[in-house]
Amino acid sequence: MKKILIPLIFILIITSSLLTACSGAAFIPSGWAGLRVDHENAYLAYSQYIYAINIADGVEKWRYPVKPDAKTTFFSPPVLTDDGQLLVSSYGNKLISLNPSTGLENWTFASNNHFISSPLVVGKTIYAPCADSNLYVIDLKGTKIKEINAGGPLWTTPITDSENKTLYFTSMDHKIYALDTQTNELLWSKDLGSALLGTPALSQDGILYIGTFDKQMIAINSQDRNILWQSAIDGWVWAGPILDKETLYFGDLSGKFYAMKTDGTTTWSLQPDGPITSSPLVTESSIFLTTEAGTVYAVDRDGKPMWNQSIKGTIYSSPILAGDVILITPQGGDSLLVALNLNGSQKWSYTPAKK
Amino acid sequence: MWNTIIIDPMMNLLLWIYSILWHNFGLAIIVFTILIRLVTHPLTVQQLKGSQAMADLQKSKKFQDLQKKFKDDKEKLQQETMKLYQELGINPLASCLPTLIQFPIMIGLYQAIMWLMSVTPGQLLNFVRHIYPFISASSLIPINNRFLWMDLSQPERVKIFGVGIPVLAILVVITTYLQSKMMTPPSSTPGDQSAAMAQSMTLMMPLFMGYIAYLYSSGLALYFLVGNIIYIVQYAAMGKLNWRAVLPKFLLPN
Repeated sequence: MKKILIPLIFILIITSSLLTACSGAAFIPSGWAGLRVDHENAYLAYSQYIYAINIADGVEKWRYPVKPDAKTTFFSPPVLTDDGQLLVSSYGNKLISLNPSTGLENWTFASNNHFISSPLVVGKTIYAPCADSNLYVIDLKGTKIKEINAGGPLWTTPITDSENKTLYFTSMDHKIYALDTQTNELLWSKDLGSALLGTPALSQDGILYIGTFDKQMIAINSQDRNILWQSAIDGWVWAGPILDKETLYFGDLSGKFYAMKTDGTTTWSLQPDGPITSSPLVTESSIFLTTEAGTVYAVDRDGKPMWNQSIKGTIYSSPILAGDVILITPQGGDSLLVALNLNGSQKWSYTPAKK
Repeated sequence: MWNTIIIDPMMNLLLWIYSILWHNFGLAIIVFTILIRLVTHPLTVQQLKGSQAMADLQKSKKFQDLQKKFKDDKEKLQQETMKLYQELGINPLASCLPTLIQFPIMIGLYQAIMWLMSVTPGQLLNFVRHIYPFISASSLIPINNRFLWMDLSQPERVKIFGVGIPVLAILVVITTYLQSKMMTPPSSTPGDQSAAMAQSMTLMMPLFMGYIAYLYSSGLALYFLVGNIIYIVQYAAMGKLNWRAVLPKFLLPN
């Protein structure tokens, strides 16, 4: 019996290891860096921690939780509320409110499934998209007001119009939904034929711009949900477009970056060195974009290259402007956060100390 | 290399089957399992022949004489047995091959299921970049992971009075046990070491497979269960099932 038991235990261990280790981390997801800044700190969500880092010098102030929990992984940027909370979405089925000064927990809101994307705070109400297909409507103390059911997992942060009257959110069920924020009742939904992962852009005159997995950028009139135009592009769109001065800026998984007019015509495009899974940072004079290959590109508004900077690791998340630096969140490299000057030179980097 | 040879073809085949089977991932796994069993059918036949040849050999006078002659010298007995295998052209490992082939399929399938189910952005990104260009996948995502009462991306439990019962894992244990028991030829040699080992395997393998089914996604457990049933049907179709091994004595003809 012993002779057969030992090889069997060995096979069991090897098989279990192979099933978990090679499977894209089936049980402990690696996370997807997300970043938010205020005037003083950067709040970085990555893997099993939230880090508060001083923007001036890159020194860590606190991290949450003190002891990591394999189930509590983070995939999206934290959100700062007007009443001084830091909200974080956790893969461990929780929306967590922290004190941004100390990193101590205020409250948690639990659901039956993962919170992948950041919530949106509208006035005194939190709208938290969840992978269980529900958009949870919660007050600022963490009490559920309502849940709105969509047909598929919700992985993107909603957006509201300029008056905060209507909220729009996309779902993996291929639909975009419009919600009345006064009554929290659904106004309409529209099937766009393929999964929608990016947050739409919304113009002042109520046009929604959404990239799809079907290699399209689509413009929809938010009043009557009619499609105004569809523009074919080269790859699947992962992150939402940024709308600035009548131009949409976005990248796709084929690694192409576009500047597209709001009538659907492409003004210019670039082919950087890898797939683009994040929205760009658009400033008055420049556009900053990151690629999965780990490169940060700066181009002017005509698409002319200004500089590019290679950073060790892969970059899945958007660059963020914090005062006079651009913050980048590489994964799998030496650092978790890199601050670049506006000319592309590195100012500081942050590597978490082992605790 | 592993992705290109094992996971990508499996994932794309599953995705293609899913696309033609009304976006039902449970049905896709069942059809996929049937296809795998059809492809490995020659190996199943080889396994059957191998185990039958071993059983015949163990019944032979020559083999039993060897057992008696070298009963006090295990090393010599092993050498002489190996010689006998060579003389008769029997490969003692031939019956193990189909079982060994199951391991890369099992590991590959698990990974393919996890990619297809994509419960994190990283998994989804991995998934979309491994889709073959001829599959129109944009409208298929997200994969519908519901099948009967199961979420195929998660370990399966049925709540009864608040307790989660792993029904699928239990069925995997039962069918693996039946499969092993019905396919093991009865030993004619009392105290035969290999028969004792086979007996141990008959008990340990169902527990091992059940443990994997209990721990990992129910999509994998569904593959085990359907695979076991097809295996039993394949053997039955070849008229080789050993019903005596599992049926109570009063049900057996004299």
